[in-house]
Amino acid sequence: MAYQEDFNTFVGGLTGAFKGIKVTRKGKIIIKNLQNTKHLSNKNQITALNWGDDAERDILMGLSDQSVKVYDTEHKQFISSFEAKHGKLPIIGLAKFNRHILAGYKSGDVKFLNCDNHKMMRTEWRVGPSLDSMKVKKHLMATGGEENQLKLWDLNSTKLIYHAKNVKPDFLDLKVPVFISDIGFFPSNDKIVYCSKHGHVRIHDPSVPQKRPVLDMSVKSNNGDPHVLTALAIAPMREQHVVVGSAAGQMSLLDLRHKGIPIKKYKSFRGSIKAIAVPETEPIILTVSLDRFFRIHNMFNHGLRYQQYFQSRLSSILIRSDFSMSSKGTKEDVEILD
Amino acid sequence: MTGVKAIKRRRDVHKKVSEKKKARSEARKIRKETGDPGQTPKTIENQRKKSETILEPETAEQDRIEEVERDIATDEFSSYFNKEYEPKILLTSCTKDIKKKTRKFMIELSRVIPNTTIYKRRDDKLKKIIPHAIDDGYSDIVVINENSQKPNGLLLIHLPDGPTANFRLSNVRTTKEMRKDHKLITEHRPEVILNNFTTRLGHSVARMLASIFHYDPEFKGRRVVTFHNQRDFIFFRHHIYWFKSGERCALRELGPRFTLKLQSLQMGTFDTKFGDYEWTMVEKRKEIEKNRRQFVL
Repeated sequence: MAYQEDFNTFVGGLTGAFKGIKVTRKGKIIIKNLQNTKHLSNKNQITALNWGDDAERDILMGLSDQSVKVYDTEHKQFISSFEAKHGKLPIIGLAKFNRHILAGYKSGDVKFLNCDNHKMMRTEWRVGPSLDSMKVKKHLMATGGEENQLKLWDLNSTKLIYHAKNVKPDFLDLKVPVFISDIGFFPSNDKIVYCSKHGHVRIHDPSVPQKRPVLDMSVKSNNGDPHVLTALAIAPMREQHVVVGSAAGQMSLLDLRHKGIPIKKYKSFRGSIKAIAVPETEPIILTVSLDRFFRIHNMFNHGLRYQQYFQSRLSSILIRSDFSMSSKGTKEDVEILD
Repeated sequence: MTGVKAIKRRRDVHKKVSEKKKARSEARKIRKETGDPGQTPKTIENQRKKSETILEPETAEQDRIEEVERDIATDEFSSYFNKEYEPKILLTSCTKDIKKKTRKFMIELSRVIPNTTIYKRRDDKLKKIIPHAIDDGYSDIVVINENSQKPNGLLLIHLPDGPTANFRLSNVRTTKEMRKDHKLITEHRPEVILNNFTTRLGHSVARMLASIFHYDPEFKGRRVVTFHNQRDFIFFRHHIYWFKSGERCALRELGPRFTLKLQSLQMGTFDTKFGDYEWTMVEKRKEIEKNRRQFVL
């Protein structure tokens, strides 16, 4: 059986727990610890999780003690581990660019790790005072954080190609605060969407001269308080839909057409939603949260599809781009895995 | 005609009822003779819906239990349970002008919890007190909230990096209201009993409550502090005990007494704006309290 048909979801926790999950349509969900439970500790938390290559074979894992581990999903083992020291604050984002691993630190620095040839213009640079989210699509890197506006970088030349402008001051003529917590690239066009801890969801379009957002909306509770948005995912099936999750366990589906409205709310969360993943082909939402649960919601039909207690506070989720719930392998293969 | 029918019907009903009663009393007699305990009554406690986070050592997988153990062994309170520091508590109120009852309650709480300093709150923000408290070597901050001239909330902040628990405080009764004498409360470090915290969240809360007391009780003082969890309400009681003869032991309550109910558990120190909640009741009360046989602690 090919490795792509093995686990289709990977989850990382704040105890350093790393689990592979196979989600199938029939409700049978296989979970396996890929990290030995004897070595778990709240001191090395998984803070970043991303694919290490285009074939989705290697997984890059950033830990809070500033070390990077590489996991091979084909041979089901860790193939390398190295230190990536830079300042004191943890790694918040990892990505593969050409042959290099790119790491973003909470301190606001971005660094190419393990680069032997110094052909590149620069191997580390500062993107702002604080970095909370770093996402890479092909040769583009988007960054943002607390009082750090959305910036788009070209990784070939490491140059800044787009610097977003803050929205206009509010009716009291006060500056609107910036606190970007998660960024997403739309798969079919150049647009970028981000959510902020002040409850804003904004879309920027780098292809137009306008530097201010082309859509600005805010997600609020019934009493008018903005949600502290911590996680965001674009529904690839319907690109006008975005799922956002908050630090108090509120998740909603937003329709970005027209002015953008929340069209659905999802229940059963007890703690902060740390990461959301939406597969391309299935209408489901996979979430991990600090209440130690992994959940699967139906995107449009009511209700929770599945939830499982995972013992550790969960921080990150990664799914395969060809995520599918219908198992291609035969029945025996699934049983061997179990 | 109708009157006769009604009388007949009434007689039939009476007959049936009396037969039932007879059968019941006979069954009870037999039960008494044979010593059969009969059926156990249904209570909310024994009908409780089992939480997914309770892992039974007999049935759950070994690696899941091991993971929980590793998580607990390396959490924020591990250094307290490894006896690396002695707890030092800062007790303060929500605002600077608090009424008599809250002030009295704070004084009583400082008698119960050893190594406590009452800090008279000025116009300073709690977020600014926290770094100073860390510098001064405090291990926890307890903030009593007041509303309608009565204490109604308790905020517990573990230093230096969280977590923060917010409790609703109710049924506060001070020593004087209970007609007890506070002079009976000695300065010995009390023993702490944590009762009935079963779920994973319950374990976190219990560890948090335990860590404000000294890990090494002075048994000479014979003082006991109890946190008893029953249906998600945490009852605080404070007793003194003494041995009478052989196996017999007497118990006497000291003040104060109060009840806590968990509202939220937040990672990190106090941050109401951007805090990451591990568990919260915000906008979820109906969902959490929908099933009255389901409990969180």
